[in-house]
Amino acid sequence: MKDKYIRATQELCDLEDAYMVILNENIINTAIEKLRKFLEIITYDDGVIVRGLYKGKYFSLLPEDILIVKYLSGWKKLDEVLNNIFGEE
Amino acid sequence: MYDVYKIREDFPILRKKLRGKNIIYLDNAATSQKPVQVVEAISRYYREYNANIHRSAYLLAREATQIYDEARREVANFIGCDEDEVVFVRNTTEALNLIAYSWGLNNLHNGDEIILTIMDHHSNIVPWYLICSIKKCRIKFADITDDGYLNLSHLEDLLNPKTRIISVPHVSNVLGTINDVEYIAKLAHEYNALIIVDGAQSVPHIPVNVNKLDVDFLAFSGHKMLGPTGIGVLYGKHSLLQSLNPFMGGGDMIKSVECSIGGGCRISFEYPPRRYEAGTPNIAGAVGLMEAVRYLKRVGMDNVRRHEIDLTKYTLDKLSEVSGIEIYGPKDPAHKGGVIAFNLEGFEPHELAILLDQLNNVMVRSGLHCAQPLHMRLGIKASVRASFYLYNTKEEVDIFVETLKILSRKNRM
Repeated sequence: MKDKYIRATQELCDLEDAYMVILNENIINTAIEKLRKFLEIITYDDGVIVRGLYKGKYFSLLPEDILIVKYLSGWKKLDEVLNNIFGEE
Repeated sequence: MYDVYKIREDFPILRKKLRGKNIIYLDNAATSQKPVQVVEAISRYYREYNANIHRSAYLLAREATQIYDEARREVANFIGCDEDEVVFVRNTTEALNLIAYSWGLNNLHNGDEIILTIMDHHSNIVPWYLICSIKKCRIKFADITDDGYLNLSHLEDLLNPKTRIISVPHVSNVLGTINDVEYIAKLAHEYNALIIVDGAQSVPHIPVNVNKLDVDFLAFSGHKMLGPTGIGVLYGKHSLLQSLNPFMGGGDMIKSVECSIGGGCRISFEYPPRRYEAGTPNIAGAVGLMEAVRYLKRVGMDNVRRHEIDLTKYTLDKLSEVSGIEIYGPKDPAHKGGVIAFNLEGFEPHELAILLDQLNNVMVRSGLHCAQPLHMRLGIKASVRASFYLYNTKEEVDIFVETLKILSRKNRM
């Protein structure tokens, strides 16, 4: 189910185990709704950037449907977190 | 007279529009854009000369061989060495691995020491780590000063009779620091150690002459100097290349292979540089690199360097107006390549890179830039890096800095 909301994922290079998730622009509003349901919002800056926390993972939602997720221990953990958020109808 | 606008006309990709705006490519330390002359030379090679080299007797193959050998001569002339001191490889990483495996495996012994620097790229750390784990050698890292220069007195303190290699970046790919390689080479030779130089960020940007520097090996990549990906160069002194075993075995690098059906083989190797170029090489890549070198020669490496000093100084001055910015590395453009690493308060480096791209097509790198030990030394998780080349303009820098200012202000609202 989560794959409906996600177009691509890419590992980022830093000391904080970050990944970039490209959301599907066709259903971006539903994706953002789902994200906001789970995230504890920590910064909201006029649509430029929305930062939030979910189970100790850092989320940063940027324009053009890009999501950065940090503090993961690998691809498997990313998959698990995204499944939790986007996995249910 | 250096005309950056005229130069830009040779780079078709710089006319590309994204989101209805011009692109501002400031990720040249990762890879450079290609002038139409290089693109056409590669295309012409495939249209008019393509055949395998060093093998066939027919005319087309002889032409392909000639053009490949010509590429080697052009590169040799560019860095001031003889053509048989130029080995074509895939990239800087492969060149450094070649030295590590060909020289290191055969010459390093238990207890020997290798000196690297904390500002090294992973490509000059990992190969030595792998070799040291086999040969039971020790790697020591020379530190940097607080302002981002290599701490030469610390490096000198690390030297001792067990030192076999000093391997350093000529220009740091994060800090931009230009290291005094000529001096470090003298130090290395005083201790009968080898001096190996990672030239990935220097050969494309500053005049480099291996004889003047007196380095034993120099590695660099074609794609960072207007050439195609998949072609790089290892320079090695005659005597060293003659004495080494090959890194990879296969066709074209042997003189003879005599094997008996009952078992056993007797193999003798070609003379360098062919000894190190097993299999069909990247012929089109060498042709592209030759054209890139010719392009840089026409512009003049002194001019390229002057342009980058000017642009770096301009950028550093402008960046000082951005509140919340922290810049890493030397601030004096005379001792720095066209590389500026920084962070902006309130933004994660990846966020900043994505926002610069989204707002004004400013393309910069974010992350560790394959230099994790340096970031740990600086006490930061990652950084953003803007890096320039001969086609970048002050107008592009203005947009880059203005975008940072907008973001900085937004963060403070």
